[in-house]
Amino acid sequence: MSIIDNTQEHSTRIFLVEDHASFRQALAFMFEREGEFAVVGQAGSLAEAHAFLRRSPDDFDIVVVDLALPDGDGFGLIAELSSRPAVMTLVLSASLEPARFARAVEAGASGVLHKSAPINEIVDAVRRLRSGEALLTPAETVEMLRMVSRRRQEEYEARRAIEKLTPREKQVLAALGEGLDSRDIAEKLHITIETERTHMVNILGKLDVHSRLQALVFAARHGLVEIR
Amino acid sequence: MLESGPFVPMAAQADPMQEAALGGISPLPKPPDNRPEGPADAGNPAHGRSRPRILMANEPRAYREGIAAVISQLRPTVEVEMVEPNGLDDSIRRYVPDMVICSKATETLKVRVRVWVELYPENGAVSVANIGGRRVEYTEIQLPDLLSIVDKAGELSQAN
Repeated sequence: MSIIDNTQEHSTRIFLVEDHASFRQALAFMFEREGEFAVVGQAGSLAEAHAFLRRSPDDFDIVVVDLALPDGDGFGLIAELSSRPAVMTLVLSASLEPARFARAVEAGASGVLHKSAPINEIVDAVRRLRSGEALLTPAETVEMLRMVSRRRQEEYEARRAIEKLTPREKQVLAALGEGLDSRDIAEKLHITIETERTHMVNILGKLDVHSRLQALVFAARHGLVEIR
Repeated sequence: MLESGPFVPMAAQADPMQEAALGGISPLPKPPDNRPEGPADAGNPAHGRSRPRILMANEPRAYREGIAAVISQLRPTVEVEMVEPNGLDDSIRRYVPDMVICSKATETLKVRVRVWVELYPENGAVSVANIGGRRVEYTEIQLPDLLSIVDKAGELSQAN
């Protein structure tokens, strides 16, 4: 973690949270050369970010946060920062998942940018935020919040479906995740092929999917099986 | 930073950015005001080979542009060219760089370029450098490390 005493009057004070140090340092350099910005702190992890926040709770205006940090994702940090009315958060992420950007907005991010953006666009985004300009239109914000809501509903329904599975059905799914076919699953679980097929029909019904492959994808997506 | 193979070890380095920053001193010079943005006009034959050439083909773009801007400003005698990663091999043949920074080292790169850095491959934390035959692994490469490699590429270029 770095705490840098280069605050100037009228500067926009920036706190950078990014684990790729050489990029973070280059980004700091880019901001500093603009003259109107002062990078007051840098952190490479959530732990370093929280340490900075404890030591300098009110010393920054804008936080630029990477979502994927070595000790966790940045959503909690964004939510924590959103409780400070004077602070704005710009998310900078390498993720291509719109749902992650949407979650960041829900957590309170004022803007989200992909790291494939030109560096000047990132600098300009901070400038626009500081001047009170919104980076996201209301329609974009609403769409992102809807996306989070849909995703949350899907996760809820998936959890409900998983709860309906019996321990035996979970064993069948686990065996499916090992790449076994019906005969091998039956042999592994000491059941007949007919019983295995009955379990599978029940699994498909409970998960609301239509094939073994879809069941496998569902199970992998929700952590029921680990594909190695 | 880890070494492997028959390469010469480099001394482990502390985080000079952080150390200096904690002391209230920026480890990198302040960017000069009113300096033109962007890399040098690489590829101009008038430059000859008196200036080391660096080709940047790493991704994402923000990394490429940010680091290129720093190198251009802090090492003004170096030519910096930026290309998209999928144009790396062609650019190596055309531009004949003394150093390459990329996200994935190609066979063409390994055969034709003496100094290169595979920066955050697969968006991971570890970076790998080849410095005139020495392989160096960085678990958390810093900007001063990259500048040091740029300087080394310049020295190797001048030695030839």
